[in-house]
Amino acid sequence: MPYQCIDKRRNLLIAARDSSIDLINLENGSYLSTWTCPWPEKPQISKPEIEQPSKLLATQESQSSSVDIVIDSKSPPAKRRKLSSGEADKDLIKEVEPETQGTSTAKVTKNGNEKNQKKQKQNNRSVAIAIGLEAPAIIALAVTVNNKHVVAVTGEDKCIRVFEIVDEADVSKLHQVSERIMPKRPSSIAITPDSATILSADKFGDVYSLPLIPSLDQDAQSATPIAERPFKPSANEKTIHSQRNRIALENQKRHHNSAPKNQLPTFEHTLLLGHVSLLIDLKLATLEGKTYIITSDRDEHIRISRGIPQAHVIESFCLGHREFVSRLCIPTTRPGILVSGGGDDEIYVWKWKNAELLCKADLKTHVNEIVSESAKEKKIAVSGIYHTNHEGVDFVLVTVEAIPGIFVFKLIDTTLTHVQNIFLRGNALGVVTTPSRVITSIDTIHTPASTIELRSSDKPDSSFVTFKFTNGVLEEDSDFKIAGVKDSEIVDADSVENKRMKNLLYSIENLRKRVGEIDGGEAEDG
Amino acid sequence: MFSLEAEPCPPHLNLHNQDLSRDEFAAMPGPANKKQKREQYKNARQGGSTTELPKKKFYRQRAHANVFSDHDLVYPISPAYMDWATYYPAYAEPEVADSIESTTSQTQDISLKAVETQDGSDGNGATSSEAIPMKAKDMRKLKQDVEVADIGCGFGGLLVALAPKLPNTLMLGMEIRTQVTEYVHERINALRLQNSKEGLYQNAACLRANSMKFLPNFFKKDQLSKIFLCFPDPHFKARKHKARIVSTTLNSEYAYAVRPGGIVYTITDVEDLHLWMVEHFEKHPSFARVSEEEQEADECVEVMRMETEEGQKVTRNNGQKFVALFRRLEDPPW
Repeated sequence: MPYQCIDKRRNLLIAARDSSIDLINLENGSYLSTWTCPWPEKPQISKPEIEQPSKLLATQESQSSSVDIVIDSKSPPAKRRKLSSGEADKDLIKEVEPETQGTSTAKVTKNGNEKNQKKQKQNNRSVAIAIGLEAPAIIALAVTVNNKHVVAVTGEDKCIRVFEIVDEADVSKLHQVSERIMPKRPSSIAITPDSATILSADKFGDVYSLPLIPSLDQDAQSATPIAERPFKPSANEKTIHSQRNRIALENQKRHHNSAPKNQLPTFEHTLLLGHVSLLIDLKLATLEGKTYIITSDRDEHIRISRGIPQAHVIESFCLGHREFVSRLCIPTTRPGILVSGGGDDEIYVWKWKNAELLCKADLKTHVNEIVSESAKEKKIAVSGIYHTNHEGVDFVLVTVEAIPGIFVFKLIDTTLTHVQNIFLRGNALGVVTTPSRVITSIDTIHTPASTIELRSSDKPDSSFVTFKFTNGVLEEDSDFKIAGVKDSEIVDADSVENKRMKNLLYSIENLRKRVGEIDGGEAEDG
Repeated sequence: MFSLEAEPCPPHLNLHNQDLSRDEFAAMPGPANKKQKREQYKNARQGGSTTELPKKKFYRQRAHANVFSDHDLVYPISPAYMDWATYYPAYAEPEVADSIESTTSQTQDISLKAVETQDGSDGNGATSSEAIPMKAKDMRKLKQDVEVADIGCGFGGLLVALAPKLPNTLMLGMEIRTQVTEYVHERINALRLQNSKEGLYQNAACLRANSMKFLPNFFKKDQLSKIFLCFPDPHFKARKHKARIVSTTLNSEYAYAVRPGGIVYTITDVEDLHLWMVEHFEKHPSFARVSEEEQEADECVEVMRMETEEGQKVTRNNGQKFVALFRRLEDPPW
């Protein structure tokens, strides 16, 4: 399995593949240790959840529901989609009405059925989550400034995990100190310069802050259940209603005794800011002693907000992208500069404090230089922007999703100029820069420039390629080898495993808006 | 009401329930007919150059739109690329501006997505195609900036009532539903023609936008003095609360667009939503609630209560109206 994201800490390379994190010594390339994410608990855990609502049901029904579970677990994992109770009702009315005409009995059946059906859906979901995957995969990594902790996000369980780096007998190991399940799946994380706070940007558009080390007191405090308030519908009959609002109100009245479904996290977390969009990247910047939060979303926005505790103040928006903005990079040597890229053909350079666009550098032309003729029409999605400084010159390295190359630019003053293309043996996945080297992880499973087609691998390829500067140009450093750990191979291109791999490694292009798509969602907006 | 245009009969009905699908098909001629009538009506209006006010019944659309979906929206890349002159021709500078305050190349398209509507009946045709020019260099500047935004303006009752009361202030209605936007556009055009001698209603305009996503694409920092949020969609269900027009995170965007001292006006007939809006604005450090005396002294409040379409509907229904105003505070130093 290839390494989907990599980071470094002093002399340590922290590399995540699927659901484990390998530590590798950056000085000599030797492998040190591996942390593997525990598998989620088996489907049985969903049972207590089911039993709770079934208290209300007749025994017969709960039996039938357990049969349902069996059937469900054989079926392929269902698409996770919330069904509004309104929709469920509609189906039910169709089912129930032809059968029974006696009003009172019909009501009972209907209510019973309804709960039954709901439960079934719940089962479907939890079972799907449990059997659809093995262990959640790591989708983001970050290292604290003080180099003591590593923070990783596992995708499927929306979990932020904090690790302490422990050195045991000269071997560095990761020791998990906490795991916190976020309300929505985090897409990017950052750690404040004081190594005390994690910022997490999620798919729902919100940015939360949470302490790196959760304090125990707070946990206990917020864990105490909130006193249940008696239910009161939000509207009354005099409120102006559309037909749908009326249905919603009726539903509320009917379900007034049902417990609140969404459990809020019990650990300390603060909502800092939010976009009505999907957040893709989050970076922290410090300029003239003040901190700022920079967020980028799927709707072409780059937002500059003040840092904690004034994150509610928006300083500016860097507007100019025409597609999603997937990656942000602030060169450490030039804190006032922001390099951004996404679904556009160009890389943008900003003076971010004043939202001033300094220059755009063409990327698509250079991508076309290394792809086959047939792929030249394809749109590009930036998957990484990295900065390194070599002998006083700032270099910006750009990787593009499913493209076997690194595009090297020089940042001189306010302009970005193309320097070279680096060809890779596999699609670029992650890049780490050290003062002397550039290390990149590549996709060793798929053929270059493909996200589906598998390699006919007779000889396994190394997961890492290393480069070093020679006369101002990056060249492969074949003396430096990193021990990539070989793992099970995918055999079938159509396999579930391969699809999952594709989703894990190549998910950015999916963010592109589809032109001419029917105003989706409106129909299902309940 | 539901708008059934362009919604084919769901295939599952076809497969599983013959009776139902037949019923569905029997109902089909209805919407098709409606579509035809709408087209006829709109063609007869000579593209908006008539003094006759449009009829609402040809522009009705269901009350909800999903604010999270992409739609086929047309919006400027940034406020510098917004061509206001087509919306407020009476306020445009006479000559074509030769420079745009932006470093981006001027020859490119200024509208991010100049997508043609895929469905005539969805018709923002009139609004978007004429209103969004393709090149930045074709833009004329305005003598003054838009200062008032009515977010979710609906059928434009507030705009139309407010325009003569604040004759020297440019106001913009923003509405996500195409048909409704078109109605307001036609309504304002007709009123402008009716009052051409007095030059009234030249200061009001309406465009289609998803303000929850794209407010900063239209307005610069501190550009607005007033934002109206009148009878917003209550989104009763808890899991829909993120779609509410007022939230802690969205209030930051209003604070960005509204200058210190500016006012955000809210009115609703849903007490729960009123309390929600008050809670979220009061919790936000950039806003403070305006006192009751000051609120009642504000002439816009009466207009908001009595002149908005929803306001009138609530009055007819003997419903309650909850008003709250919030002042934008100065940001603390950073």
